[in-house]
Amino acid sequence: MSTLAPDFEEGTNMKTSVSGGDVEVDLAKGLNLIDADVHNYPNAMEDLFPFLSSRWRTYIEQSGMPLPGVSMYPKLFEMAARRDAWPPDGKKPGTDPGFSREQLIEKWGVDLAILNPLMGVSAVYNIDLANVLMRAMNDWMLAVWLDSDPRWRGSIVVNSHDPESAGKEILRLADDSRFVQVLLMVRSHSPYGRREFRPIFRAAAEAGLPVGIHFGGGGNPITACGWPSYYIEDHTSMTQAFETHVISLVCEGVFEELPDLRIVLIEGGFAWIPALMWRLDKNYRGLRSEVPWLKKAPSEYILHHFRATTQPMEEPPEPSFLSQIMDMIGRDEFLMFATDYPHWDFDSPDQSLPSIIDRRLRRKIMVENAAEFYGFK
Amino acid sequence: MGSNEYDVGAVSDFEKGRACRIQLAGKAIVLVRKEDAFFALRDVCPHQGATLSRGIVSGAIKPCLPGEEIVLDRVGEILICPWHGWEFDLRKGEAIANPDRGRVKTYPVRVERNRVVVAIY
Repeated sequence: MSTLAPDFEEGTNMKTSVSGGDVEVDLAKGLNLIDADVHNYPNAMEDLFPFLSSRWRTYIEQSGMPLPGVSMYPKLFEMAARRDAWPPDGKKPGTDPGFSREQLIEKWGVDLAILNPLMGVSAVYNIDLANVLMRAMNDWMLAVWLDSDPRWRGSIVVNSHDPESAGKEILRLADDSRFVQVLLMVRSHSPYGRREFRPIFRAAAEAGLPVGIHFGGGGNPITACGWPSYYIEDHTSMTQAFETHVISLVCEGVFEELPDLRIVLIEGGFAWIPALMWRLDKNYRGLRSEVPWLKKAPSEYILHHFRATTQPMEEPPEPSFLSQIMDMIGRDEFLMFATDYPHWDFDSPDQSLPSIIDRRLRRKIMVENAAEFYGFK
Repeated sequence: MGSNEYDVGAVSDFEKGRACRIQLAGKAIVLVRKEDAFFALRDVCPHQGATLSRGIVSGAIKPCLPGEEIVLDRVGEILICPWHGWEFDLRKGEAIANPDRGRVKTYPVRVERNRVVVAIY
């Protein structure tokens, strides 16, 4: 499986120097655009039948079970999709590999695209059914998507309610290098740093795979104060859940136990990250004795072990504010571009990143950072 | 017709409430019919460049207080971007929630002897 990127091992500089230290090797050479968040779906439960045993096909047919969703809020956009992303054959957005290839990969010249199927496997409370759906989703990903075009890369769907089975599933697929990360939903039933989840992170670290934590899910209200009324609140509040997991993973000592573990925050935005690091570092100075396994300031773990995808790019009134936020994060390797195709909050590769971002940093965000992080060549 | 005016078809050629893309003088235009009135705008969203004619024609919600009945107003006069849902006032070309930064160029349209005529400036 993929190994750690050079910058990850060396600290703060992703560029690898050779022969005297004045030549920079561009590991992303030949690549121009990597999309770190694309969505694909089965069109209907029947699409998973080839990957299920007769017992489970019969169970699903007899119960009339539809594909499990991950969120309860109507989104104004059906399937949360761009209105122009419905394939001409009448199927749902993100269900036709050929149409997605044409509308995303070919149109924008995407070299590699990471598929994150947002299937509510963890929302199925029948633990045996959830686990067979988990395995069926991953086998479907291989057969229908990854085999269809060499530019697709896949995330491994896991059942977060059964971390032991999730860990086995990660290791079952780890030898296929087209799977490049493990996928968890951000709105979980508990913070991911808690010890119950450790088998998932142990398996990911053993396999050399990062764990992507993605917008959505439905295990709990999105706010600590209960359920908001509207999708605009749900969408905007999602950063709360991302913050929860960042704090939890750091404070529970996950990175001391698993020093090779890497996490990607997907579709959570990034403008909140500096403020979280400042607050957590400040508290660490006075509350350190509560978490004695930590050996350095929380922000050091965050900058070392985490990455974030750019979409949905925050849109401040002055584009220069975004540039300042990137400076405050303080690590040019931190952000990786993503479109979120085919969803309605799609970020266009040629227009979403403000022109104020200089060419060097733009290339890192659009291609180099993901190439390094995932070990793409 | 003036030299900058274009006959784009009969009134009946255009379905009510459906955005239609036409090319005039090298420009992509989105044309929308509301009953016998027509609106023409540049077919590019000023936010991130989506093709507006792939969006939907709808109305705008009237401002109201929490708990009051929510009413859809101006049906047929609002074009919603297919990507991020920005709502454009077809008469003015302004994005309702961001009029200062989200303005689409509009073009005059008239109906003459049952023909739709768009002027490109």
